[in-house]
Amino acid sequence: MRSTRMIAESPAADTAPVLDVTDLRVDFATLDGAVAAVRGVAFQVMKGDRLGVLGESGSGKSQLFLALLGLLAPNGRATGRALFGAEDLLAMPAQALRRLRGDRIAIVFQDPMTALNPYLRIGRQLTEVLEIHRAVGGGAARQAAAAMLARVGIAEPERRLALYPHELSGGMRQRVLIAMALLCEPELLIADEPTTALDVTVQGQILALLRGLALTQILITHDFGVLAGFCNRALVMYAGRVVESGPVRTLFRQPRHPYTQGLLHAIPRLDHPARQRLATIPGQPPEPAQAGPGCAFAPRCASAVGRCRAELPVLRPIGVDQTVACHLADG
Amino acid sequence: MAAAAPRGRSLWRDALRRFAGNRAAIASVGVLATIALAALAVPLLSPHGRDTIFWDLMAAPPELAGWHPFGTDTNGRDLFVRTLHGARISLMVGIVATLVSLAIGVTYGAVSGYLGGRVDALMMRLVDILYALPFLFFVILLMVVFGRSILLIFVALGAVEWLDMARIVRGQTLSLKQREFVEAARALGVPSLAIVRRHIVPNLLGPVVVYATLTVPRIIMFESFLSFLGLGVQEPMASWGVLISEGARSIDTAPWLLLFPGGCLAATLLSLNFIGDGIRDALDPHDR
Repeated sequence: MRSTRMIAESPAADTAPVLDVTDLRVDFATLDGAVAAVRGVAFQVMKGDRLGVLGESGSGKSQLFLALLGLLAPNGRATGRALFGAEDLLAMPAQALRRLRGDRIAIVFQDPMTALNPYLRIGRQLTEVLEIHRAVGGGAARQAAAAMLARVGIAEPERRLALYPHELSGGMRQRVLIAMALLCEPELLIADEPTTALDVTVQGQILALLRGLALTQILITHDFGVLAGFCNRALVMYAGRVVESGPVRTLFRQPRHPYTQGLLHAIPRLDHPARQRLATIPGQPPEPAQAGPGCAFAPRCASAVGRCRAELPVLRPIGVDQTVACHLADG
Repeated sequence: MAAAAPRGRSLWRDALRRFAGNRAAIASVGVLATIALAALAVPLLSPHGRDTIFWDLMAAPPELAGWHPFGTDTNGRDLFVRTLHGARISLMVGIVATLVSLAIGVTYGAVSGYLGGRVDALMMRLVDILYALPFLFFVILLMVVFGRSILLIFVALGAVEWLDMARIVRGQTLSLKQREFVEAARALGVPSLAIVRRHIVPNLLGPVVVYATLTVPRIIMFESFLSFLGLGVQEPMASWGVLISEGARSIDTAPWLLLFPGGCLAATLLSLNFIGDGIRDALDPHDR
């Protein structure tokens, strides 16, 4: 398994993206007709990248990755192209995609309280993954599971294997879930808001754990702070589209899209006077079903002009290594 | 939460502890165990055979001198022995038919619920069709075609009872498959059948066990009902239903013929219901 993969990675593969997504669309068939959750998203993830995907609830960021893994709800449909190495994830038969999940691409979910089966011991849930993807069972699987628990920073791993999920704290459970995701040494790890359900102190520990992994990672989040401490690149999503992308530092120093700027201003800061009101972005994100011809952010944008409401801005390069979808941004 | 438990304190063990604290349930287990043990050990408890006829004691009231604690029936047979032999049949029918309905119902319901969509709709329509079959008609038909046998009663009752089980299990599965750990298992590439077997079914056990304990009394009732109508077991075998039916005929002259088998049946049914309630209460807190 390992060796064949090594051969497949020719020297040129270092410069080829791990994941290359073009024009990804996700539609859900509802009683009111098709509703678009993701409307044509394109991005690349390079080997070793830690890509952040930033957006509020309903921006389509989670559906985007569920679509890549073939985990959409039955009424969902994904179109476009998503090259993972040489294979198109969206054109793959369901069985092949299932074998790839948990093996070459792994995902860590948001809520560690509910993502573990309450009736099975931790050990059983870990070894199951090895049984399925590596045909390793029994003592060897238990050893591998214990070793992986140790690697994610769980003390006395042998003993923990015999515990049930309800006997572990939230942070511990998230570590177990990360261990499950890492068991088969995936090439890509997708973490969907891995710290949202945790205490702030535990958040830091989990992020430090993820940061220590030499692995290509995608972090889905709505928290600029998490993004800043973790990712080197980021996409900002709004209403199913990427509105801005670039290196995280640049996004912080020079956000080009009014939405990104708004998000940055909405972060509470210690160096501002305590009584100053927290900046917010007025209005609500649009319903996926009702989209006008123009920029989806225009109704909430302070600097919107007539053109914004009439014409959809396309994502275009701006500055160094940055892209933005806004008529008003200029280099 | 126990931070330093030496071994996994399973939900089952917690449930067992709570169950042990439920007095009605524990007493019921005692009653049921007594009846079951007595049924197994009839030869040790009474010197009389189940078809020994005491010609001088026809429909005699209970007397301890000749060791007829329940009296004798209208044919002069010892009622104590017959009641305990009846317990064998009734309990066996109840347990075996419940296990049959459990095996079929859980598999069918879990698969139907997990696969969902058109498969689910098709499988559930089949259940609806079977529901629509009149039960008595079905049993009489079986009896006519295959002749009477205990085995047939098991089959008939199991074949009817699994329908309810399948519906309950399907409903539970539908809600379980929305849970995040099932999604997580899918995201880790666990195949559908393994998800049903390892992740859905263990989580179903709570409601299923409760329902099963309530199914046993219903099947015993059904069997009694069939026997009462003359469709159940045949002489010299007896089930509680047969004895009650005989007893009901002589209720004016020999009320003990109805009282003892009826009392045993009532005690068993009550015990099973208490145990079912106890198990449900013991398992519930974790669902909250």
